[in-house]
Amino acid sequence: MDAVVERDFREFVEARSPALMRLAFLLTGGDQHAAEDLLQTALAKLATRWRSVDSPESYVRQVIYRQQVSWWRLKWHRHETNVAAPPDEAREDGTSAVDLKMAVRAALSRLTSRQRAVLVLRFFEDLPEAEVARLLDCSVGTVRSTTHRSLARLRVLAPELKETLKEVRQ
Amino acid sequence: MNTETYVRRVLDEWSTEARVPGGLADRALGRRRTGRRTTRAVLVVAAAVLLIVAGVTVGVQGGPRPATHPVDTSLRTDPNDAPPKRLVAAGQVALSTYRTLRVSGKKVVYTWYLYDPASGGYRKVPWAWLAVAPGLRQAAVLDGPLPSARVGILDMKTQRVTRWIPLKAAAGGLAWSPDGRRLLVTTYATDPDAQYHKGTGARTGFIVVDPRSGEAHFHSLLFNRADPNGRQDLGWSRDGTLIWATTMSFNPPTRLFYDLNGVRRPAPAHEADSLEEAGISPNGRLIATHGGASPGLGIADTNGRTVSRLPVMQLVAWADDTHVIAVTCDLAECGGPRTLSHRYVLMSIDGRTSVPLTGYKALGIVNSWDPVFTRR
Repeated sequence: MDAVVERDFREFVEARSPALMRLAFLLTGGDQHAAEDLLQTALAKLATRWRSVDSPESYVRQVIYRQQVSWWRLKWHRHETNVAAPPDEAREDGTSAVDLKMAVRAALSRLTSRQRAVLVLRFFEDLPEAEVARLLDCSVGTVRSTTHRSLARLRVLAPELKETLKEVRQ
Repeated sequence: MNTETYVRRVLDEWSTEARVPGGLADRALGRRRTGRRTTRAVLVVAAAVLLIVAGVTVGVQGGPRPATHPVDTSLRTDPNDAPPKRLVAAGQVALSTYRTLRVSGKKVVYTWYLYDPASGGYRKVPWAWLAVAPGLRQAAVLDGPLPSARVGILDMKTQRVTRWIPLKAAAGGLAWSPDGRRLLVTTYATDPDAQYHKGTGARTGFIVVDPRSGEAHFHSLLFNRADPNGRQDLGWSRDGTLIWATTMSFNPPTRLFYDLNGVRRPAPAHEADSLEEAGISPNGRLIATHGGASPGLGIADTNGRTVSRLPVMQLVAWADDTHVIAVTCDLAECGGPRTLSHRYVLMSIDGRTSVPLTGYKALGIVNSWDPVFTRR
């Protein structure tokens, strides 16, 4: 990589790292160190293809999504995360906003990498189902059913979510 | 609000806690062979642990908040770092500053790190002592060596001292009133962090300062001979009408109260009941207690009835009426003779939910740091 190309690459990393770290952080369930590894791996791949890639941002995001899901598939890269274990049973009424937030975060971290990736792509990245399907190399129907199952799993892992939102609707 | 909308909100807020590491481009380009894992692998853990009673406790600056403006209650954690590198906050309080300490000769020397809103992290500052005001907009600082003849008012946004106020007695301790409008300065004849023999001390009294006008009045309140610590800083009552001095007793009264002229007054209800720093809940209905003969710490109601027991080492601050910031230990070591590391967590008062706020830290002087939580 010559000096000019390297400068361009460095400028890209400097400018986009905050947004990419946020994505990697969520995909890894709030594990800072795993997120750093994930982003570093994706950027290293981008560096080798820098000259030939039309959209570096799209490329590196796709690598991050697929890398995270493939790590999960390989089973050897599942991290323990520093969050509380969600409760095994429903709690009494009166759950506070902080409590609910904590419970949902903990529940998100307990989802499988694929389930979490689908929720992050749909609700954090705001991508349409077809785009999520393309990125994760699966069908739109799979994205739809995974989204549905992931949200249902969240409600099981964080029962106060269902209760609180029900109260809000009333 | 439906589940999707709520999940969207949680993801968005949670993602802001991601920290961008330095040298990402270098790592990606393979310029540094030492990635994060290698770096961590060669870290050497200091084994020597010195236990010391320095007379300094973790605490909350500012009592119950006057309802003047909306409060940011977002949860911010840095569970992989101790001390934290980015803001830690939960409910009504934030970790506004922390200090590390070392023993130099026969005195304790503190180094302070202050929350810097511009970076979102903590910055080493040169002050010998400091206190952040409720609201996190300003801080009071003392320059060393202590005791100091002036107090500075620092703008948190710019991190610069905007005004120096001269004092008629030398200062060693600082505490903001719960409404953040007055400053309680504890005065000392000599360095409060030096070692003192039993029955001797350095506190001379206190000054209540109005930072806006610069008005300051000194009152005598000599050191407590039963307290072995040189530093005997004074604090405010919850409503900001009285000040207190600790009695160093586990049994009530744990604090003695005085008016702003230094005249002894009865303790406000339940404010001298417990030594636990968290004290009384924001709604005034619950009290953090040391638990008496029972293991663990407790939450009691104002009638003294135990509401719950928590498997923690310390109750530091109330985040809201149902959550406390507590110190827990490494589960593998907790309660044993080799309890060497602990971390700050946000815990529900029923003990069912706990979220790490910081990484683990070692007990004792080596690698030790003490946080101060302040009302946001």
